[in-house]
Amino acid sequence: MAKPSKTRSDTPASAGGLEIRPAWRRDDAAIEADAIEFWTRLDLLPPGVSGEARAKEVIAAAYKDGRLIAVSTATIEYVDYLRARFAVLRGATDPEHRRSRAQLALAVPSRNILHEWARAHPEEELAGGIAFVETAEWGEFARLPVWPESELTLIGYTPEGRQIRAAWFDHFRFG
Amino acid sequence: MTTAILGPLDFLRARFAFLRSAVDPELRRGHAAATMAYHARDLLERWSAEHPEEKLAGLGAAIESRQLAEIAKEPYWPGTRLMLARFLPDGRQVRVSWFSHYRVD
Repeated sequence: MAKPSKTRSDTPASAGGLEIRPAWRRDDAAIEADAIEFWTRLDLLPPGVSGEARAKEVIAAAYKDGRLIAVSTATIEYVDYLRARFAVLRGATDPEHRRSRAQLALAVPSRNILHEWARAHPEEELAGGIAFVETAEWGEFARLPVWPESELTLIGYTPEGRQIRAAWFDHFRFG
Repeated sequence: MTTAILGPLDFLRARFAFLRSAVDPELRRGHAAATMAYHARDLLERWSAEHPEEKLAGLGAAIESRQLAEIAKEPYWPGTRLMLARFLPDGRQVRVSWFSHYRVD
């Protein structure tokens, strides 16, 4: 996460026929409604999790032909083994569009949106992004220790065998 | 002088090279150790690529020197590409720099 955005994150970006719309902490009612419809239609919400609450965690959404086909979300949590607060990253893609590389298209804009927000809100002490990766879902790509788009770097494994990948924001310093 | 020991980092399930540097006390305030580390990284990466049977994944370091306290505030060091991967219970930082050719099993 060392490179700052070259495009403003408050304008939609286009990537591979996808339109990327930023949503982090914007209370964008249209994107939130689309995200809730997306999760409900695909039955992606865990029991006890409301769509309205999850919608507040959307970093960015990918649209194709005006329809939301993928989202990235984050919650901010303290990671004890890194002694810092991280955005715990999650993503979901419509199964019909898995080959669209929508999550990869979301990766850099999502990183840049969070990075810019972290810089603008130093009181949040957000150090970077972290993801817990099911290697089977990512195939050969999961064998790369450092992911080029997001700079998410392998830093460990969960007891269940998922990869833990993290990327530090370049402005972050330990106090 | 810089030396390297090869050994596993269990939490990464891979084998890393750990550098140790010794610098003439009269020159400690210079950048000799850092310069040596940059060259050592390049050299070890080439060696690793030429010896895939060694399965050397990258560079590792446990940061314990108090002289590094200030730069230890930076979680990523661009020169050696050493990134903070976790803290040990005793407070030391474990940093790693993966070689670009390496692939996780």
